[in-house]
Amino acid sequence: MNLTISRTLLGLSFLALFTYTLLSGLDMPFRASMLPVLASSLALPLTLLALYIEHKKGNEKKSQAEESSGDLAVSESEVSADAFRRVRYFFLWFASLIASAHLLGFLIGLPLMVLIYLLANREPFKLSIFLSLMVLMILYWGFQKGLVLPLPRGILTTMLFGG
Amino acid sequence: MSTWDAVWAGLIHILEPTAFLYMMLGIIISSTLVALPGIGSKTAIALLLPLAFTLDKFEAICLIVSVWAVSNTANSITSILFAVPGGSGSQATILDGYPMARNGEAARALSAAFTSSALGGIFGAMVLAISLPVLKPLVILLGPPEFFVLILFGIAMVSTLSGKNKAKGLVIGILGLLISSVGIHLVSGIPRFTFGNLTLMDGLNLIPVTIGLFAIPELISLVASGSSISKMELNNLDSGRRQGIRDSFTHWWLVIRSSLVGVWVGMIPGLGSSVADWFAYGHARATEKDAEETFGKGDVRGVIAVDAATNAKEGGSLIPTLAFGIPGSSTLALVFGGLLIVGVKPGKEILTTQLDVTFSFIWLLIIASVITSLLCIIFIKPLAKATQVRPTLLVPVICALSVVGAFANSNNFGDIIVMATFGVFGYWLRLHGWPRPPLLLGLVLGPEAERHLWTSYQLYEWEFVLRPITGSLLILLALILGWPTLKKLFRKPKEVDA
Repeated sequence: MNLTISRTLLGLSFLALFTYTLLSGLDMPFRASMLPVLASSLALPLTLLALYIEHKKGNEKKSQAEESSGDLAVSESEVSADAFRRVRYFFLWFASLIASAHLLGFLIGLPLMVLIYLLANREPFKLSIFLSLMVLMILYWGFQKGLVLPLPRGILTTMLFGG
Repeated sequence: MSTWDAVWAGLIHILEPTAFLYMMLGIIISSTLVALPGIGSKTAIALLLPLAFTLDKFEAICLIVSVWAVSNTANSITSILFAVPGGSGSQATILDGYPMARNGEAARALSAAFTSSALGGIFGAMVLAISLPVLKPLVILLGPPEFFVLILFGIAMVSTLSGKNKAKGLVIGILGLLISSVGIHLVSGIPRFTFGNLTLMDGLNLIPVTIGLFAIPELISLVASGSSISKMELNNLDSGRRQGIRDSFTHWWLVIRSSLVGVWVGMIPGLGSSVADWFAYGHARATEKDAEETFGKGDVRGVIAVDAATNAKEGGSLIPTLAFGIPGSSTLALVFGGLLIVGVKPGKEILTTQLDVTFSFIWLLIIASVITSLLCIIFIKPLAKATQVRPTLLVPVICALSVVGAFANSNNFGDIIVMATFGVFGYWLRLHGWPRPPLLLGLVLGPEAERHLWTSYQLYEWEFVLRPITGSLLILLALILGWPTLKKLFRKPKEVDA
């Protein structure tokens, strides 16, 4: 997506969000609405001001570098076409990671997706297997046994092998 | 409990075997994770919060506070060896640390950085301890209206110092306040912004939001940049360690002055490590003998000043956090959130009935700083090697742990979706220069702000804003926010005359 469209969309999302919270707040009883109404009424004009300042600055790259000074700055290499392609693949993998945790359970789904990521990035096979097994060990011994955390078994695993 | 009893009890609490082990775990994890490319202290704390949730109060304090307290120490490794700042507090270390490494004095620069870091940490903790008697009566004097305005003040300060477009920071801070109001309102029982979703009924948990907002965007950034931090050879790390330690003690007066700069910066909410290091470097350059000629070319004093200040800052930043519940930085907001989970509530209680908790913080700052510096000096080489780990190895493992971390908080799969959503949102914000720290601050302080707002309204209605301290703070806030505009207004006529 074009950076300018993405930036505009983010600004508009804020405006829509604060309008919604303000209107919803007005429908709530006074005590519950105090903070949402006060915060939204302040946020709406401030968002408009922020967008105006951003628009006025014009130069997209310059403003990004300057404005991210309070946070970690975005480098040039992160906004290249190649970088966005890698990020798209990452999002796809990350969504698959969550889906596989839900379907196959944490103990199978997460190490499996770690292995897939490592092999897809041409990491050595033995190292990939080692790291995936390490994740499995951390999940099993660290979280399930150590912290007594009931890790979900996954919908498919439960269907196939029973609860 | 008398002050001396509290001092003693605070030390005993953290020296208990299990608590001490968690402190060591925090130190090792923090030093290693912070040394890894792209992984900052916020990510380290976010990943450890689910573990802290299962511990008792002092064990959790030892784990969380030690991760935070020592996070600036290992940051210097990448700055000195590769000229890549390991964190926002180690940018100025590059100026003299990297030239020293290139001159074959890497070990000297690193041990000087670690030693002055420990000395700065001790100094910051001492200032915090000394300021406690002054803070106690001050905190007792303040009521709900003052606390409400102080919270607004804290959010606004962090927001306005988040970049050139201050309005962006304020918007994000307010968004954090609004996000804190999601869920069933505890007093009226009204569901707010829940859309009938069961996960949202309980409100948004701090852990999945934090992991999403800070850890995931950093991982995306690593993926996007697509390269390891450095492919440089790690040589000249064996000689010069003793010299570096000696340097820090030889320049003790510089260490003290830089630490004072650090404490002062830390006390002001919003000014963080990224400011402390530059202030201290500027101060050293302006005051040290022949600095104009040698600074920037590999002068050890440049390294000492920066590292003493960034670690001393932590003691200073605990002053507004413990006294008024206003975290001095975004990382401290995360620490503060973690401490709330285990029942440690900053404000009156922590300075009166729970004074031992406050002193355990102070002891932790001292002990953890010294241990970390010693460990870093001993294990310079393995830590330096950690900086060369490929992102392709780090990203999947940390992502998998983030998923479990988000789930572990409430055993609810919905929290993983919350984490993923905030991960994408955090990346979107970062991409367009909207600062993320104010959101966290708003989220953490939101419930307290709402409580104080309601109590103030009940006591004085809207007239609470006219109370002397409240009104003065509001005027001060308005002046700070409006200062750039006012400055322009006053400057204009002069420019016209010229």
